[in-house]
Amino acid sequence: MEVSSYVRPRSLDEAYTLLTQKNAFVIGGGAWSRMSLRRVETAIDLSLLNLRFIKKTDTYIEIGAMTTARELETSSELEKTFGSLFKDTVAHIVGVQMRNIVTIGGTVAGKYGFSDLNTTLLALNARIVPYNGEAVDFEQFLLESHKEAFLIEKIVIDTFDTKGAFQSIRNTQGDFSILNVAAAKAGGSWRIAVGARPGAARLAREGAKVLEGHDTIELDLAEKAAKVAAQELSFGKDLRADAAYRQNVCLPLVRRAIMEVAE
Amino acid sequence: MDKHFNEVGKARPKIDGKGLVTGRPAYTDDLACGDALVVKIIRSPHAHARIISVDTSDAQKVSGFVLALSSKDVKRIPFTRAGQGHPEPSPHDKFILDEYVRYVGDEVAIVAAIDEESAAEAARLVKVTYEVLDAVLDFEEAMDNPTVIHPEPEIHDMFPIGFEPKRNIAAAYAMEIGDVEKVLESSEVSIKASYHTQAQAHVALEPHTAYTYLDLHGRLNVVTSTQNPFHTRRLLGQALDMPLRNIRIQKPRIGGGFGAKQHLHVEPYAALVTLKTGKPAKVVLSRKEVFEATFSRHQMRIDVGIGATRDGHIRAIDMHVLSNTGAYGEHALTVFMVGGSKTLPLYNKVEAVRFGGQIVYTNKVPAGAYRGYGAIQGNFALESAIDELAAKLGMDPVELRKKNMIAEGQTSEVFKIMGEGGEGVEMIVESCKLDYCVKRGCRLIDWLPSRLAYEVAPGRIRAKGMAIAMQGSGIPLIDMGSANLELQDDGFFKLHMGATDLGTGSDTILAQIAAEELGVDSDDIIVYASDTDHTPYDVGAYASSTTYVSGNAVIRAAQNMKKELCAAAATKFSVDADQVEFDGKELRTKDGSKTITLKELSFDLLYHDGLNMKTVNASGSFSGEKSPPPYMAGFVEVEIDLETGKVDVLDYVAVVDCGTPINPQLAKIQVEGGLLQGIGMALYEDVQYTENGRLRTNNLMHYKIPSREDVKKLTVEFAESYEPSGPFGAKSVGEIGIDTPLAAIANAIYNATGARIRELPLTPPRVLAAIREAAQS
Amino acid sequence: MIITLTVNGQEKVHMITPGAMLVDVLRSAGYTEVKKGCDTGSCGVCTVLLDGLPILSCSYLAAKADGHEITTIRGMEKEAAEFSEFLVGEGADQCGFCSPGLALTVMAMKKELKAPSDEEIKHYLAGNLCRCSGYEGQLRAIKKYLEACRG
Repeated sequence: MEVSSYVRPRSLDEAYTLLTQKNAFVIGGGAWSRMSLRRVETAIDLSLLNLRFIKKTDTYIEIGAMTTARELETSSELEKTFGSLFKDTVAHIVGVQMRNIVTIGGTVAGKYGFSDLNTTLLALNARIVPYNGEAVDFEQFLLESHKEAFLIEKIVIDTFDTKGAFQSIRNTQGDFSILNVAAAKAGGSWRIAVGARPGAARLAREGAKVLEGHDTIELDLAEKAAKVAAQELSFGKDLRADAAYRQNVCLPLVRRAIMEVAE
Repeated sequence: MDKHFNEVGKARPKIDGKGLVTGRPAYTDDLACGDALVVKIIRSPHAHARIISVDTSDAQKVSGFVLALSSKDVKRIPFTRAGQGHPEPSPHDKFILDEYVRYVGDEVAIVAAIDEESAAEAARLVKVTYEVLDAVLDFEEAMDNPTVIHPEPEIHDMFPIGFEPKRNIAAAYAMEIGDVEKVLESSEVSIKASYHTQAQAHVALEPHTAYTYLDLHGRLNVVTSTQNPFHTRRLLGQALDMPLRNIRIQKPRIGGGFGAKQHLHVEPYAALVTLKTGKPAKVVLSRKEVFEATFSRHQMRIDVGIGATRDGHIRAIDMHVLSNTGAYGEHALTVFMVGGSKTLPLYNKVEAVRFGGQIVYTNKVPAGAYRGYGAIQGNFALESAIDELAAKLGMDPVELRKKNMIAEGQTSEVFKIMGEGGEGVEMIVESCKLDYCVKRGCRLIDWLPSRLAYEVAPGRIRAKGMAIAMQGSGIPLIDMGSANLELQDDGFFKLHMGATDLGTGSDTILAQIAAEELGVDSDDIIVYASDTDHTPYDVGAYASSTTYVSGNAVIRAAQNMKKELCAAAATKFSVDADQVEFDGKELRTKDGSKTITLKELSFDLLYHDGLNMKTVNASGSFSGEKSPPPYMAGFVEVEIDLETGKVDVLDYVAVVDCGTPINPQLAKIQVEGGLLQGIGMALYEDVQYTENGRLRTNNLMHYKIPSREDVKKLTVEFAESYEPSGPFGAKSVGEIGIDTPLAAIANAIYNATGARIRELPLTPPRVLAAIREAAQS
Repeated sequence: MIITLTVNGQEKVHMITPGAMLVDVLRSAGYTEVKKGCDTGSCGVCTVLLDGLPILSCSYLAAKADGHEITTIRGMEKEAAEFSEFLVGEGADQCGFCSPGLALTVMAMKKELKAPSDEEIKHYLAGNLCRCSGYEGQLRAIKKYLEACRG
């Protein structure tokens, strides 16, 4: 990445103003910098803005945009609330060194197809909270593009009666997912998210509907829901697999995620 | 053999270990001086093209720019980059810079500048126009393709190797013992199948690097990450048309080889800049360049036919190979031949055996040397085919092998017929513990023919598979190594050898061998190696030659040293030399009347003995009259997820016969490291190209080598074995570990699911598709 | 732009282009123990500690490290030498290219994890690739080292 000027604003307001300038770019972890061919006029570093936090209330968790994947992995707050969900989700990101760099804000903003974290956040119905703007549902955020400056301040996840599970298939343990799945139940409501399709995560709404209204989930109901999910989503081909494989493997992964949540 | 050794067989720590772990500067780029000119290579974006023009005018405007070179600036001399002995069995089909480019990544031009940034900027500004030509990308379509990749009139072979460039054939070979067709036809049971192996990348963690400068005498000095300093000197001299006496090659510490650096690689480009400017220069490749523009393993299609009696006696084996050597023919013939010469002799009781095929050019990444060197590809095919035969016979695959595999004291006619690019050497196998290796491996993995696969959970199966393998120990009559020993004051010895330590620890184990023969401590041996100005010749680290060839050379040097020491002491004692004995610490007359310590002798000879003062040195050279094979049996236990096709290795058991392990720990690591590379090729390392011939898997994000979380366990043991012709009974151990995982894992998948997969890697999509197909039929 | 890095306890000023990666700035400044093995943040040989946490210096902007403390293996020479005894004792230091990065990550792991199981060790070190040793010998060495540190 070519950078003309590198700035560390001292307030969110200053950061936001910088971002409205031409060809300005917020650096999250900056892990892509070496590989990126981007030419950036102003690189904005949010390190001074105290955005590394995980705050728990009775009904929701707030995660600051600069919180690293490693912090998500080792957070006792996240473990108390969601069990091993976040640990399972980020465990395969290369190594602890990389996880000490990549941030939740950078991952969310990047909308990467391969992202495991985004799939889990989508299943959890996360809200993306920008500075100086309205919170956006992550599903919407993934589908829309932003014309004005959008400075992610934090991510909010409702936690009341919420449980989630993450499943994936990949070659080596540190490789990108060939496909990833996250299922979550909040109260009586189910969400099934599938990512690395290779496209970015999407909700399988029809699949989730199959589970609605059932207090207990039996294996064949989960199988049915998974089948519907695999049919309703679209898959593509890349280096790692073709569409047919992704669709084939979507079924068992969704079923396993559902059963993990259901037990 | 009950041998008591003092130094050999001890797990001596590597002499460079502490320095490397604590980060002392050791590798070529650490040693390059700070003001070395940085050389960047401009590379072709096309798989096949003619360069119309190279315009460096914008590049020259970059501040810090020093020099740009294209083919018009370089003398046109065809050479080979293959690190092999002379005459090389590889075609001389490469020019330093040429008018044609033959693969995406091929060198077009070079620029040199004062630092990394200017060089990168200058390289970006070089404008090249091309006439794009049709590319040959499918190696099964290469032979007699209308597009000829090497039409140049100057290229040539060094001796007949079947070189037919007009047909896109780099080399070809055929041999037959007995009448294979006849025996196959009359066999009660036969199988016939084709197997495909991919062009694996070495991924040595240190990218290829070379640093050049002119010394005080105006000689070209090259510090380079190489496995073969002496070949590099000769090949570089040829390519640059320079007398060898004006070139010095030094190998410092290198960050991995595995065959990647058994070639001339970036040295000519750094050298050209130094020769033209008089200044130091360096080339440090990026990982992308290492993938795209160094060397890979030869991709192969191997057609196997086996004929046997109904009770499992193998009567004939037929192996036909089509090998893809990419854009240039380095190691083309020899890798191909090892595919047969280091697999077929495993089944030496056949009535007939045939091996042949072609190695073709394509407009893809050039293939070259890589650990296993053909034996790994051949092993996948043959050991899969043997299991297919076992299935057809309804026989335990282990029993089938026991019935047919080679044993100690036996020979194979293949040894005599197939050598390094030509005929081989007859050999009785004086050490072979395959029977023990198989038996012990069965015990360790708990091999129960009636229960090779079982369900552990719904949709999850555990299964076992196995394969046997052999390799070689150097190339007989062709590989030669030498060592010089010199006594120093204070009673220690300098050991100078050409032998090339890639991190394997050869410096350490060769010192152990010298110490053992001399009767001294390893700490009394100070090693210096791999410097063409100061160390004697050695072929370099390849063909698993270092322990056997260089080790035997060290023994000879040590034996000669003992004679010299006794002679020097005899002069002092005024007796005949045969009256003096040396026990490692003291020299004394046989009757014990006169003694002197080694330490005292060393001082006297250098300072005190007047007209009798001298330097005591001794040398030894060795080249083998045989290449005693190491053997191994590999057993894998995998767990397969039937719904996703994911295959995980739970345990890999390797029982190895390498003769005496000179340093048991270093030997073990060689096997463990080889196993992981084999498992990587079997399961993970995928090679993909675009339809325009660009390598898509050209970085470590997409080309995945195993991480430490991928394999649960490795279990490596050594058989008690002793090779009489080897140094203190040793054979080689460098390559044998890599050969078996491909077939062992494919066999396990078959045992679990009935799906026989004959191409690699065994990624989840490939395995799932095969499982589903097998389930349907 | 000008940045200040405290490397192995020594504070120094560096002149960099804003987009420079930390690994290049460190190597140019003479810290050749920080290696470059790949282009994509995949191999771990460039590992350094940033304020005590292991990061990939090839995937970290030097400007982002401005004002922070960096430790390379030469800043932990005594511990590295101790650890090297165990690694060398298993023969598991082969070409050595992965070793400095591995040693640093082991030091960081020692601080973060109390009595890690084999699986936990492998997981913590998963980002440090090795092509020579097959990992098994390194695991043996690391377990012995951790035990020696505890005992």
